[in-house]
Amino acid sequence: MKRSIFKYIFVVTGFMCTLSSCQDLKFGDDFLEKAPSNDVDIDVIYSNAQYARTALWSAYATLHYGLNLGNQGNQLMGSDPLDCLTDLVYSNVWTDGVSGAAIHYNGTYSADYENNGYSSKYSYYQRPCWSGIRRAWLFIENVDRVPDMEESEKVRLKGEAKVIIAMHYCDIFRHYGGVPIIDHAYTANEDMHRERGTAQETLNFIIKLLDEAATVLPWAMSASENREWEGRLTKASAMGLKARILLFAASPLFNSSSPYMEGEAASNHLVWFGSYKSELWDQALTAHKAFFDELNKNGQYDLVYKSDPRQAFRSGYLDRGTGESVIATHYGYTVPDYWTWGWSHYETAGDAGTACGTQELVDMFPMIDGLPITESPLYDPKYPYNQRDPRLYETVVVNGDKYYGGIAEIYVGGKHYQEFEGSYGAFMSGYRPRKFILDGGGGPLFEWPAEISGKVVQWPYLRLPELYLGYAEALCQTNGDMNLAYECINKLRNRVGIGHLKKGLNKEEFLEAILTERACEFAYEEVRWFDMIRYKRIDIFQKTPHRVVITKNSETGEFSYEYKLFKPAENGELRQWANPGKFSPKWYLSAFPSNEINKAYGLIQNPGW
Amino acid sequence: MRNKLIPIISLSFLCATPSVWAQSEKVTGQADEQVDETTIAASSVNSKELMKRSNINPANALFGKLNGLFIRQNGGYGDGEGYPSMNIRGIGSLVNNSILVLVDGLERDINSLVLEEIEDVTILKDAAALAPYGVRGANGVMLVKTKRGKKGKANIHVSYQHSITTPMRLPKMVDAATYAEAVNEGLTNEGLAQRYTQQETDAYRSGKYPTLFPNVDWIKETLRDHGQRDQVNFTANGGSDRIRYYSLLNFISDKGLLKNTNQDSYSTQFGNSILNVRTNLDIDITSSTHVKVNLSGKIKEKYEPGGISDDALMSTLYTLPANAFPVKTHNGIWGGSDMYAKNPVAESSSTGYSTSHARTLLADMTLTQDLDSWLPGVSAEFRIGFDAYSETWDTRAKQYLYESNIAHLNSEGIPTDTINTQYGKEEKQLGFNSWLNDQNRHSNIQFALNYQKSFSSSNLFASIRYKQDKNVYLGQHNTYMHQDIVANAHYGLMNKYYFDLNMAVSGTSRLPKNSRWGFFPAVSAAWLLNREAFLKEATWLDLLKLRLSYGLTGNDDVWKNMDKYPFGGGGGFIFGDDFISNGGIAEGQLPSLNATFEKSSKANLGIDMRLLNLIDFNLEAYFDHRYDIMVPNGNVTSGFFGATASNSPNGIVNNYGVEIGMNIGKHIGNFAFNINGQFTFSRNKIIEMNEAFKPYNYLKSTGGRINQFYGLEVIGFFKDQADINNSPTQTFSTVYPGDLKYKDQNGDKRIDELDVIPMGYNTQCPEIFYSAGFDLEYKGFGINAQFQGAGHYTVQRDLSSLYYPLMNNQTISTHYLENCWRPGADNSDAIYPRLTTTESANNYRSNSVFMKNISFLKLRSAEAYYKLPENVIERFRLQEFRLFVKGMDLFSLDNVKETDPEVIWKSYPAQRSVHFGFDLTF
Repeated sequence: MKRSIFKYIFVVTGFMCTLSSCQDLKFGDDFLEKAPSNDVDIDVIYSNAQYARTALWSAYATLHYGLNLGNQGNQLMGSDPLDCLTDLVYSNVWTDGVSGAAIHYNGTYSADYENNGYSSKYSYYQRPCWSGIRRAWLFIENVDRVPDMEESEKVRLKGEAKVIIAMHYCDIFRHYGGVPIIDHAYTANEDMHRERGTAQETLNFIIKLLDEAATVLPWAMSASENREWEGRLTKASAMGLKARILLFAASPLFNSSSPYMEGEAASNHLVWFGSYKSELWDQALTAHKAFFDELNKNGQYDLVYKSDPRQAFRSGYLDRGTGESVIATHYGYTVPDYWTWGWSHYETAGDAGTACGTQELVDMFPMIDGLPITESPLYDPKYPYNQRDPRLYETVVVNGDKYYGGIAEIYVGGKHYQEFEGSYGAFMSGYRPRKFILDGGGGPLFEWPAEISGKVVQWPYLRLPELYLGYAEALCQTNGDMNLAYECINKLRNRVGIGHLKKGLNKEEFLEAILTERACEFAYEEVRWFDMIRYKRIDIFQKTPHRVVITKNSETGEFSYEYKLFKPAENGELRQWANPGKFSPKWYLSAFPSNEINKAYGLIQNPGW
Repeated sequence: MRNKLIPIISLSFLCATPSVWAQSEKVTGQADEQVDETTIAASSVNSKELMKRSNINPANALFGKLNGLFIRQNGGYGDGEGYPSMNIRGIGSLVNNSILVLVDGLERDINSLVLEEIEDVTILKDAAALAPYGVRGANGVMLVKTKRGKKGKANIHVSYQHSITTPMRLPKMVDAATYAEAVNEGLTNEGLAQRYTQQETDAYRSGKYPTLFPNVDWIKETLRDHGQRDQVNFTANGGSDRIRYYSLLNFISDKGLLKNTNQDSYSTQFGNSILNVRTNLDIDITSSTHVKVNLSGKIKEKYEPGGISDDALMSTLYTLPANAFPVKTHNGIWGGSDMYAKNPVAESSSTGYSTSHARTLLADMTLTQDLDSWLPGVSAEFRIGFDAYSETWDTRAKQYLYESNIAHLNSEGIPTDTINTQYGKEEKQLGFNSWLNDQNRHSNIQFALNYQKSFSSSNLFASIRYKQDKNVYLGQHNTYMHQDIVANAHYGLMNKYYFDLNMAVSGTSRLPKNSRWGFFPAVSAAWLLNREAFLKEATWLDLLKLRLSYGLTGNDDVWKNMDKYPFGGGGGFIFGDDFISNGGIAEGQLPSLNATFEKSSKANLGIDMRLLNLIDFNLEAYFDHRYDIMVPNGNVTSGFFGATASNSPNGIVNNYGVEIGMNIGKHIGNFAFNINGQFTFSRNKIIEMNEAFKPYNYLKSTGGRINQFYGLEVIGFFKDQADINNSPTQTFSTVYPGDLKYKDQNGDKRIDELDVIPMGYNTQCPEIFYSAGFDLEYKGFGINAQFQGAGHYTVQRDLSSLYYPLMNNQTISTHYLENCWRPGADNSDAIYPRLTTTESANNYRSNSVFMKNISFLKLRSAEAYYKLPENVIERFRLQEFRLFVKGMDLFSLDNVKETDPEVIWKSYPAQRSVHFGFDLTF
């Protein structure tokens, strides 16, 4: 018996030793506590200035970038540029479900499409609008508790955050009208029934944010900051954006005696202001004037001037930190890797043909004397590309212009000619885009290294010329100083060395001239679409654009030009809007996803969707 | 009597003798009287049944053996064979349906064992059996018990077997000329120029220029017709009054299907060398103090080619056209190209090799102290366990040189203008790289007090047990702790009425502090009708038992760290004139403030019957109501919120089904026979899942089933352009004659995602499993076979080449080519749409042509053996000498002819195998 007790004690001791050798032996609730881990939560972020800044950079990361980024980010419009929905540009890439052009051209776009699709012009669920707004609000609400950040920096960064919120609101306002006013970061438990703000409330909210930001932000990046920090938002950004959005708001789409289309959203004044308000034009004028007053006082922003007007124009939209961009967004592609998804605009627009220029676009560019081709004595239909506005040559590659160390041969049998029917290709309309892509491309015309190779570029979200032209337009609309208005337009013409706009135009002609000037200046820059909708230009929507087929006479070497319609819509699928009865004003604004409407928190669908 | 009671009703805590109807025991007629007392639903299978199959992973021996186990065979070469997917009683959760597997009562992988060391496997199915597992019981539990020593003279068992493995089915791809013609037909269908001239096609067909116009059967060139396996097993079993032991040594060597693997000093074959050892000791230290020690180790080395994994290689074999390039060019260099997938022969022989080294240690010790002398009826138990696992990889890889030769045929059909391009480089030296792939530590502690007492006409057993375990995997946020206090009371009245009360208080580290504990009660009862007076006369009725159970179980295997509010990658923005991004940090998913574990209330009705000492019958019917399933709130959160919404416990699923089993078996002199059959059916219904709004009822998953297949209903092919013009617009891509024509479900004259309807069944797990088998033995000669089948299972056959042909320069199966729509042909029998060389968005999507309702019946095992007569073996002092030949998965009756019905994807194929060997006991 004694022996067995001894053994028993021995065994129990053995067990106990084993147990106690487990170093982290715990019982009860403590046992279930997780091991310490380096979780980063909101308190960690706002405990240190370095982390806090990265929170704001993540809000910057949501800003709109207009070039096709492929799979790497906001793949809005699928593979296509927004301008392909206008008369300036034509996309012939029909990869269904990917091409933004396809779903708009063939009219299949719908509120249901927005639920899962990622190729619509706004792409409600793809565009990081609400998450960008939330990131910015979270930053504004939390940055004050960062211990090691100067007060002045906190104030400035909060100002930048407000401009970010306003930029997202400006984008969505121009595609949807009034939307819910989100004036703080919602918590998960908060009531999330929030109806759309009216167009006026939404506009007021944007203006308030921008005014608040303008009072605290520096006018421009200082020269010492510019190299490292160019791209940060400034007082000029806030004031410029305010001028742009007021000009849009004052335009007939929302500012009219009747809504562009009847519907519940119109009855509730979500997509117009309820009546014509001439004071909106006054506000637009004031905002532009305020911007230029401040510009005259502080300078630092100006057009890019160079001895070669083409290079000046190119640098103005493409190069960072020149002072021409009031707001520019940057993206993380790595040129020159052609196949890098982050820069697939090379492939889609430069090679596949998502951004072919139209004859309508080409015809808009004036002659070097400043007169339109219909009026200028310089224009010779046998040599349509001679003595034109240099911006034409920088916008599209025309036959006979320099191209990739040689001459572009876009005639039947020429080196760069591409059959329009049944193939892809950037040259198939006769006008390959040069803007943003410059020389070179891929695929069958794979030509590297190109001019764009290794270049740091930007998306010119808001460029100074737009404010000049906006100023001219607001002056005209308010019957203001027309000399100043002409001066604004001619400022841009002087830069590229062409003749001034013909004097003595009446109001209607002048406004038309401004829209044309804007097309020449901003083709491929997401300006034309908004011009078309804000002036409710059904006439442009219903037009089928043209392309050119150039034939070279083998004996004389002379070229002849045949202008053809893009594929007629006989199959009922190409550019539906041109077909009789197919266009409706509902296309001016986008549809909210039907899933979002059906969540029943008060979101009202736009008219017609 | 008292002592025998313990293992049965403590079943739910430990792994003990299975308590219900166990088919094989009936063969020997040794049905345990104690079987009758249990009130739970479980099924089990013993070693003898398991050994009818021969597998490296013991889970693969369970097909058709456990009624209620939903087990599917998988491909892949992982351990020489795929790891099957297992569920118990179908699918009940929207999040995670994985079962809990315990080996000797502790959570362990069944694959750390070999078949030979397993005594039995039991699955627990109803609340009465599962409530004790608290937050981990809801998906079902599998108990694996290893063999233990028996008192007596040392019993030595030696066995050896040699196995030949062949792929169950490999698809047939077309030859080079047919491929060229198919590509041309596809291009013509798309209105594009043909790629191959008639001359070139002829050259592929004639084989006149085998290196310039090759015709390669890649499967034949890369794979040999069989792999092989050798297995040696040694066990010793015996002991004295004081110590009993069971020891095992098992070695398996498996070699895969590759050809061309012998290099100068190494092989690139797929292979496994696996050594398992085990010692289980039972030590009686005193008459009242018992110690159990279980020690088991596994050392596994796995080999594969350095440059390509098993699945990637099979994917290449499925997709590479026969005319892509030759195996080797006329320059003696590997063929290759930048247009096609890599040369599989080169990849499997000239890229060096990789080896993984995995080590498993399983150790546990149990001390039982009978306190009867101080506290009558009380015993105490204390248990610790510690397991460890690690796997490292060593890669010795190299590159190789390959070239493409593109030739044109001149007007006489003679190749000219060969363009030669070389790629890669020839490396003689192997590189070296090594990394830790995985590791795991698992520690367990348990205490228990048991009490039992008999009264005049009734008896009581009660126990309370404390358990805690900690499971640490590689990486952060990968440690899981569980803690349970389990109480059980079993009461038997008049040997006819039995009642169980099971309760667990169970805590988990997967959930935040405020919601990590749950209480899980279950009640159950059994009534032995055959012992009632009114059935006394029915002598033909050996057993008639009615069982009922109801209770609550939980599942904590839901999203990780739901309570956390993490901040992480949020893109970045480039400031300044460069490409350097300023990284951003943004919030992740919002915390789920009411995170909880799933609750499952389960009801079960069971009937066990035994007639004429010959026929056993079992019927179970169950209903499982799963609620508090964590489902995303995104579909119901306002879009302007701007953050990834949290999850909330709104999900509800009902799951119900039946199980029927029957067994007929008897010994008559030298003759023994047994016939068995099982059937199970399970179906679920989603009651709530926070689903987004759907405009049509047929689009809703709520009210439907988990993993339901949704697709477009095909109503034929477009005959011609007029047919297209007169039909609703199909919006996926422009359609042409020969494309699939869909039914407009909502009548809006447009075919789009809104015309998708539920069709077929579950895409993950069949609803029906059934099996049947027999055993016959006469004078030492025996044969047995087991069939197993499944039905109500649907897959989208979206494998490129096999079902989606030609796109991305991939090949086409003869099956597709023979069954597709051809221009100008009589297409009344066509199944598949016209050929295209690019992906057709209209045709290649979920629809009723490419979906398949799969049902199959496989011969899981067939064995013939001969035991030498006793008078012969006695001369050699042997107890038993048995020769056998057995086959596994020898054939499958099914409606999928092109590939294995359970493995419809490009993985290393599931295999059929034949095994020869002997068992020797002395």
